[in-house]
Amino acid sequence: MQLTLAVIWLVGGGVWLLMGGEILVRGALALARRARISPMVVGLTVVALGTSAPELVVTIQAALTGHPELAIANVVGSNIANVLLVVGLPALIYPLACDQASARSDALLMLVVSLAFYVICSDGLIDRLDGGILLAGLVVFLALQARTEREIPQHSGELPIVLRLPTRGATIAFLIIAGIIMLPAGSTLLITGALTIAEELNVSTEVIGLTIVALSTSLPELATTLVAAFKREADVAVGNVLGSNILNLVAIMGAASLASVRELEVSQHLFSLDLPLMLLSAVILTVVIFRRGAVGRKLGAALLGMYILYNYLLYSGL
Amino acid sequence: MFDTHGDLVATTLDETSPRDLDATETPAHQDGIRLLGLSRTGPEVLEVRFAAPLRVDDTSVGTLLVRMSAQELLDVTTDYTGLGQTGETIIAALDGTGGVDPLNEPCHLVPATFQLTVTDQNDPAAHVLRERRQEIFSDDAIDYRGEEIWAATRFLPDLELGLVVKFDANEREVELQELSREMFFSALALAGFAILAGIILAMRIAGPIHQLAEVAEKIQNGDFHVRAPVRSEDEIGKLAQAFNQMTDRLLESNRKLQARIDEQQHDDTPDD
Repeated sequence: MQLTLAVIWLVGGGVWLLMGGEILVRGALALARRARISPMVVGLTVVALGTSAPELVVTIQAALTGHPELAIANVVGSNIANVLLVVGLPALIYPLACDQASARSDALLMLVVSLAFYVICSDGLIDRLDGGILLAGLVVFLALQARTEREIPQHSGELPIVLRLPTRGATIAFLIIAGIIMLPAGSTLLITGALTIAEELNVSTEVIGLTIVALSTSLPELATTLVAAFKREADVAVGNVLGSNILNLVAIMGAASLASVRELEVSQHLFSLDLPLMLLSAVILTVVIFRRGAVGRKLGAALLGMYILYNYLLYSGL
Repeated sequence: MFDTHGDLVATTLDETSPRDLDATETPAHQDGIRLLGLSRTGPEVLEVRFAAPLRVDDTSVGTLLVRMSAQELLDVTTDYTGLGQTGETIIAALDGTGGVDPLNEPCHLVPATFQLTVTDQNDPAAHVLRERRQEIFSDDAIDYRGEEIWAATRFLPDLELGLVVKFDANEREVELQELSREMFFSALALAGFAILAGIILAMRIAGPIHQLAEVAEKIQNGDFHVRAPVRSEDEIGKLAQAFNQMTDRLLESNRKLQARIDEQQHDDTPDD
């Protein structure tokens, strides 16, 4: 009974997060348009950070409510799922081209940031100084984005093409307020559901964070990419994944470690299995991008196989 | 076994056992088996005592005193099923000096200074021994630790014992809070599903209507060749179908009108 309730909370939380993120971004975009802010600035800030709002609130809330293991696991698990699942699964349907002009610099940045995060975690703690370093990485990322003069970054794929934005002030205010209320509500539900599931299944919170929670916050990316793959337009997926992985580490982990009362502890398990796998998947994706190749069915199946094996390892307690 | 003078005739106790049997507890002339009471003879050792007259041809020859363990009664108090984290059962008796003596060991630590008397107003154990009736306490009841409790009591008249089943009021509140939290979360989650279902339904209905409006706008601007997509057999599908038929007829009458105009113009042209 408790497990059923927990699953309902978790899924319901995911729904609230999805809707809250979407509504907040719509409201913020409409507000930016009304305030005549340049579309590029909006693209770099509102869309880039706004679409990561679910991950952001879940991670910060987990860190604030004394579950640092859930916060780190969510980010690391999300980055692993982004490459192995969000790239791997659509590639089974239709090969993903990795030859976008911006992909090389983004891939390199992702690799550097992942490596930096690994080094930061090596002392077993993520303190405020580390958080500051990560946020500095965010500034570099945004600056790079601005230099490439893309009005809407590639990783805005979570957001369906923004059409018919509201123009009335009251509607815009309603959207923003509703989004701000829905996100923490969804986050609370998701975290409570996840903690209860961990308790009921007798697995660690970290494992739940690395898998179920990470997957829940990565579902929008997966859904968008899958739909795009069926329409044979999944190329945008690689851009999405690169942007999302960089933001997860620099913005979300950075903000969470600054917001947390204490340093976030990195467990030995995370350091010996999950972080190396995150690095490995970043390396694989970067190599594919630099060879200007495509993620075909074979590589897609291999990535997906790695993800399934990884989940098996986590749940079998190895 | 005692004779009519109250002297011990025979016993199953060995020499070293305490000789606390007292024949005067039960006068020999009384009829039937009588329950003399319960007493605690050591930590977690409860004994029950019975007495029966010994007769030969209606002549009283003495008294039989039986002392046996009442461990089963104590076992009831150590069964915490359904009593949550803080619940316990207490069996209490009056000690003869106005004090209340718990016969079993309370599961919580008893303060060294604690002494309960039958006049104590707030303790359910004192209350049941004083009032000799069963009651339920849902507020103002305080136990030996000074904790606010919820309790149910029962007086056992034959044994002159008070039975108290209690748990901390705080625990009930925690459980209620937990239950209301679970219900709130479930309602919140279900509300999310309901809103999402509403949005999907609204999009399914509003989508085709929006397309129809776009088609109508194009026709208004003079493009009679656009047609509304008919994707379903329902009312919206029929509306789109009727709309397309209307456009067909408009186009047809337009074409006829144009033909007549052309014909008229042709007729009006003077033959050279």
